[in-house]
Amino acid sequence: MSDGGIGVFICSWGSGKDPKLDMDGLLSFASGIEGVALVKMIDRICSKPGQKEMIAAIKGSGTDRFVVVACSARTKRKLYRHIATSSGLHPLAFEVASVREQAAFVHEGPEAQRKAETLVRMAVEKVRLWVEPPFEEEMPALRNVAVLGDGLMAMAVANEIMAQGLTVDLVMSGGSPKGSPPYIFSNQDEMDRALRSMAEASSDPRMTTIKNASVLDFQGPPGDFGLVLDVAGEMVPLRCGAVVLAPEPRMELRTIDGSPAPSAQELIARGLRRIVILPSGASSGIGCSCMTPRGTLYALSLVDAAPGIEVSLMGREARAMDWMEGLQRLAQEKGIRFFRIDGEPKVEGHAPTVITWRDPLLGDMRLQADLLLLDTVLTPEVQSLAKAFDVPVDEKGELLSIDSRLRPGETVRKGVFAARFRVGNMLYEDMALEAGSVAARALEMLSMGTLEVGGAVAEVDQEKCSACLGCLRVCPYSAPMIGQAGKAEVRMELCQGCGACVALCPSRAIDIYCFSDSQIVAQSRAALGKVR
Amino acid sequence: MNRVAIIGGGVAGLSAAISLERRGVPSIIVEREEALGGLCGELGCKGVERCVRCDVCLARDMVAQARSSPLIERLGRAELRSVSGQPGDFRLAIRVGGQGHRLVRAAVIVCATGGEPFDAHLDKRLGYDELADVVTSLDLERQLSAEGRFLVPSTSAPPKKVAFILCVGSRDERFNTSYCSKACCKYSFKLAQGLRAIDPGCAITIFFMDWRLYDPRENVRAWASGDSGVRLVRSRPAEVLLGEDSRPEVRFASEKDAIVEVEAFDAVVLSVGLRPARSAAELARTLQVETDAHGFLRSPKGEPCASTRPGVFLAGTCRGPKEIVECVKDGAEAASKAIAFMGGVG
Ligand SMILES: Cc1cc2nc3c(=O)[nH]c(=O)nc-3n(C[C@H](O)[C@H](O)[C@H](O)COP(=O)(O)OP(=O)(O)OC[C@H]3O[C@@H](n4cnc5c(N)ncnc54)[C@H](O)[C@@H]3O)c2cc1C
Ligand code: SF4
Ligand code: SF4
Ligand code: SF4
Ligand code: SF4
Repeated sequence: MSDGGIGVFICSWGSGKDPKLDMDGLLSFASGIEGVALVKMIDRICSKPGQKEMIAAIKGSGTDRFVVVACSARTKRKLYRHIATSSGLHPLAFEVASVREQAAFVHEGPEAQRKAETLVRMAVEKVRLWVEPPFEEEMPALRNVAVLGDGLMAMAVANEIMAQGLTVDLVMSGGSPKGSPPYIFSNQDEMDRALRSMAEASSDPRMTTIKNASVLDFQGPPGDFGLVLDVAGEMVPLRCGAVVLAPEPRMELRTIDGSPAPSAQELIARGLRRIVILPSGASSGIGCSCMTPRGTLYALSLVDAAPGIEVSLMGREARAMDWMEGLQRLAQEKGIRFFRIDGEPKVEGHAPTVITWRDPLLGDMRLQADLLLLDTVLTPEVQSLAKAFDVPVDEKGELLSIDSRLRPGETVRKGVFAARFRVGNMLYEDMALEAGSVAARALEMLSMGTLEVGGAVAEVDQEKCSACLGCLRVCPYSAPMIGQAGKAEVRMELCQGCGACVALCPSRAIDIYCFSDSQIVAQSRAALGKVR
Repeated sequence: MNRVAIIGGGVAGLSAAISLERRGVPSIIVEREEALGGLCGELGCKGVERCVRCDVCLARDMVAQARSSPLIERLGRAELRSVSGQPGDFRLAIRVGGQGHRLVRAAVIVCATGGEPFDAHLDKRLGYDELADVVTSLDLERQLSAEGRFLVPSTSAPPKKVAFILCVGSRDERFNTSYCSKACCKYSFKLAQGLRAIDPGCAITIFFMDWRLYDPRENVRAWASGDSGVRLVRSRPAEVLLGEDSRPEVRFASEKDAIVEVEAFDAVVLSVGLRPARSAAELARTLQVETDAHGFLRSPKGEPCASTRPGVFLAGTCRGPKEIVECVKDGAEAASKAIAFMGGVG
């Protein structure tokens, strides 16, 4: 409960400029709310003078919590926290009424004003019942990152992290780095350099390599994760501040029976002249149904070495980014044929294989092949990593980021990052950018050396808890445990405030700080116009 | 001195600044325009009924974040004039509108000056010069962003039949743009979704060469096959001419037969690609970095976001065409490389 009263600060943004909201009207509305001790218009809260003015007002008035009537907390939370701590308040002792996004942008005239008033009242009612949460701003974070993967992608991530002075534990499922990288290099030099940097990384003293390992267990809070690895039958613990998953896809041309695509010499020796390359995704859905650069490059290597060979590529779209665009032209000029297929072709017989499909323009089509190759994509590591870290996989078989739009590289699990690959075409450059930017996310989290814990976390009312173990089972982060008193307790450093346990608890024993049931009820009542 | 100077406050520059901020490194954004946001500032939200993941609001969020950060200084209406000093201790002479010159010292420079939308006047066959109802995607974006709707320029009525032509000024050797612009399939798909949501009575035809959507989860075909108001035509139109009823007519090679078809639309949208900024060559001289065959600032192969000069890094569409998410990744990567160059942090 508030002792010093509630402060309400209205950002002057828009007064005059924006005809939709009457900010002075909001000011007098707010001063009429019970318990509001101070109301002030601030000339742009984003500006330095605005912040100073607000801090001085809070210090001078004795209010112990406040409401900001301004832009959304989504982008400004840090700033509002900074204002709170600079005024000597708890960093979370505020609420935001996003009148800009939720009223001015979406409503007109009096309706906008009414909505803005409701938002202000809701925020005041919510902050009134705010209770100081357990909160630790400076929890030390471990400064090593576990990178999981066997290929170039994992090495690229590791390199980037080591370049910044942190250490890496490279956890490989196999015994040696994967041989042939699946990426498309623009020239031999680029490939040589990539392989060289991979070799350099393996001998870097900041890197520890753990081979033949699989993950048995994964626990602990971000900043101090505990992994248990199975290393050739032995249990090995590993502590780390963050985890980067960097499974490398295997993308290669293969024959129907799974053997690698033959070289030009081999084809000549075996008398195979007509080669057809099909995308594997045309039927499986996983992978790509396009003509990819991999096929084009292989085709070019054949026609250059063995002029008699005829190569046809089939697929829905021609995929060619960057410098590949020119290569596609070159391939066409050299007589390599590209056939568009929208559906699935029919494949029959063996040596020669007969491929039939329908072309919308040319009608029924038929092609004979002495050798059929599939442009395949395999991602063997993804499933096991997804399971070990409980990260969902999307319909394309990739590790799901938390929101590929907002925070590329992050997963639903805080502190666990994932490098994604695009099956369609992955130029080496694309991979290097992906690896670098994902490493940057992990570095952003760890480089300050501390993390914060607490805030909006769950707490169990031991009086009410009936020790049914429901919360222990439902919590995705293993935060609740049964404590000494035989009742549930939530370890705040593990809790992510997701609310799953609150909804489940049959004894209604759990509440989340900053989002307590009573706060939500008060806020909802205010929204419905039921004022105390 | 561990400050980073970021030239250009578009989504790539903002991403770099925010990434640096998260790691405690101060930066200064030098932006030629008054406002931050770059090209994204002119684009509209294409989600009418629901979000269609065009990513434009990401840039708006980042502007707000950068503006409220104590570690990010911003210089508006400011243009880079010259660079002296050396990597690790650069001195940048900046001309600030109405205030004369200012000298900025920085250990590292991140260049995020962007590219430019293709100028549709250059492709004479597509009628942008002569026909009022042929607009560019940028025109459409601006109107959507300002008014939340799109009206046919000559009649001021809502369109009932719209064509999109993809790859305008991309994948075209006539303009030395033999590359794919990477963003236009995506935004055209989203714009078309937006127009359908605004008016379900507005039929849409998209003329495309290849669908190149970067996010593998996007499925334009599934969308089109589930919506009878949408038609996808794989054909690169030859011309747009004035039709008899004074509507624009698209001439294109039929998908079905070996004939040329002619079809009239209320409006034709040219989905323009990205090209190097006109000022790129001059900027390259100022920064002492190289450009590539197309005129973008050049990152050496396999070293994303590096330039050909130590201590100068590149992010976003100044180094090649990109969609917004890739610009965000670029910003993070450039920031990371900048920090590594300064000896790492912590
Ligand atoms: C019509 C259209 C629609 C699009 N829609 C989408 C979409 O829906 N989704 C999507 O993902 N992508 C879309 N894109 C692509 C997207 O807009 C770009 O990828 C992105 O905006 C590029 O950001 P940037 O930071 O690299 O460059 P910019 O946004 O161009 O920013 C560069 C900044 O640098 C400043 N600057 C330049 N030179 C100097 C100098 N010398 N000194 C100081 N400052 C300087 C400029 O003023 C500008 O603010 C679209 C592109 C177009 C053309
Ligand atoms: S769900 Fe509720 S009652 Fe059951 S153990 Fe957890 S806190 Fe106790
Ligand atoms: S709020 Fe979520 S994370 Fe926290 S204890 Fe409950 S279920 Fe676990
Ligand atoms: S449609 Fe685009 S701008 Fe609109 S909310 Fe979605 S991502 Fe943001
Ligand atoms: S993204 Fe699509 S429209 Fe743009 S150039 Fe590439 S293929 Fe053409």
